[in-house]
Amino acid sequence: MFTTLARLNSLSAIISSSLFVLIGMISLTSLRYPESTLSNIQLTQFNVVNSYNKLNEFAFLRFDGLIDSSHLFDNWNTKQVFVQLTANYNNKNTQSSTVVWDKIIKPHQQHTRIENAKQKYSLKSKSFKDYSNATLTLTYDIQPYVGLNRQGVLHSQPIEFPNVKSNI
Amino acid sequence: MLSQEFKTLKNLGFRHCLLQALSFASVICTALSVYKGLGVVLNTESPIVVVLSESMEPAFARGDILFLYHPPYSTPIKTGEITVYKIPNSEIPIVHRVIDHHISTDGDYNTELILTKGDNNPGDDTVLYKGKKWLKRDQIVGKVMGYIPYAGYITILMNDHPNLKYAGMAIMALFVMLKRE
Repeated sequence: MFTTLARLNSLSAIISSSLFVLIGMISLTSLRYPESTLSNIQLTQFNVVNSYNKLNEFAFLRFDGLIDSSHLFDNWNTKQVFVQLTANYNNKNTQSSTVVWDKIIKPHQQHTRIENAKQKYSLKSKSFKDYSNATLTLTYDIQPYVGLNRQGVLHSQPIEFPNVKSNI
Repeated sequence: MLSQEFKTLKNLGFRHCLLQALSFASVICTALSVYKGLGVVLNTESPIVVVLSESMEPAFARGDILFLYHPPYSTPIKTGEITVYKIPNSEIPIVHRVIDHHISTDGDYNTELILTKGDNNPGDDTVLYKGKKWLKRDQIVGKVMGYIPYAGYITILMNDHPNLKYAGMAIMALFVMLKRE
């Protein structure tokens, strides 16, 4: 009963179980995050053009903005925040959401000012004319040090797709 | 040295060996049933996965353990969620974030088209889809609910050095057989 092996065994058992209790308690501290309305986005450029073969339309946008994630970093279990700017556009039969821009926010970038940023991913459709109730939404995904991932919305605004530009 | 071990094994008797084998089997069965039970609760074939690549750095590193949940088909996947998917005829599940998502409704039937990208990769995942342009919903194994960092690193070590795995298994089996309590 008092062999080295038995001692090692009970030591590792108590270390692992107390570690799991600690991890569980840490993740319980970050179940809720406060809300904030400080973030905003202003489109500085928004065009829709035809593709060369006229089969698709591409939307191009540039924007200014402020991303305020300080309320998400108030909790010490936040490792990083992944923010995405998503265009949501629906018509009768389809619901689409396309991420046009994203950024990894580290703790020292809690207030990030964006100036005339260009979209990162293409936004294309057969025709943007049919879509109503389109919105541009800034969402976050919190990556904790340990525990549950949390998603939420920082800012949302309606947008209207412009008419197709004939020449670029 | 080994003859000594065989001697102890002989002294312990046949019934003792059987009992040890039984307790060993019960440990394995308990682990398996907990894993499969978790799969039933979380509605996914693999409720726990270990991150194998660096494509989601800095969110997930190699060796992190992820807990997955597969929402019912009536609840669509959303952009921004981190999903785990499997491409047919390829063994390794991939953990990447959804960046483009389209649902088309035809009567009661929904078709979901999903495009993913690793946070640390320069481009999206179309190159991984083996000729397809989109992922279908039934290829999604689950979405990431939570994680524990580095807790699964031992499986990566064992994958990289298979001898370590066999040595560990041999030592464990020896201890189980020779333990007398």
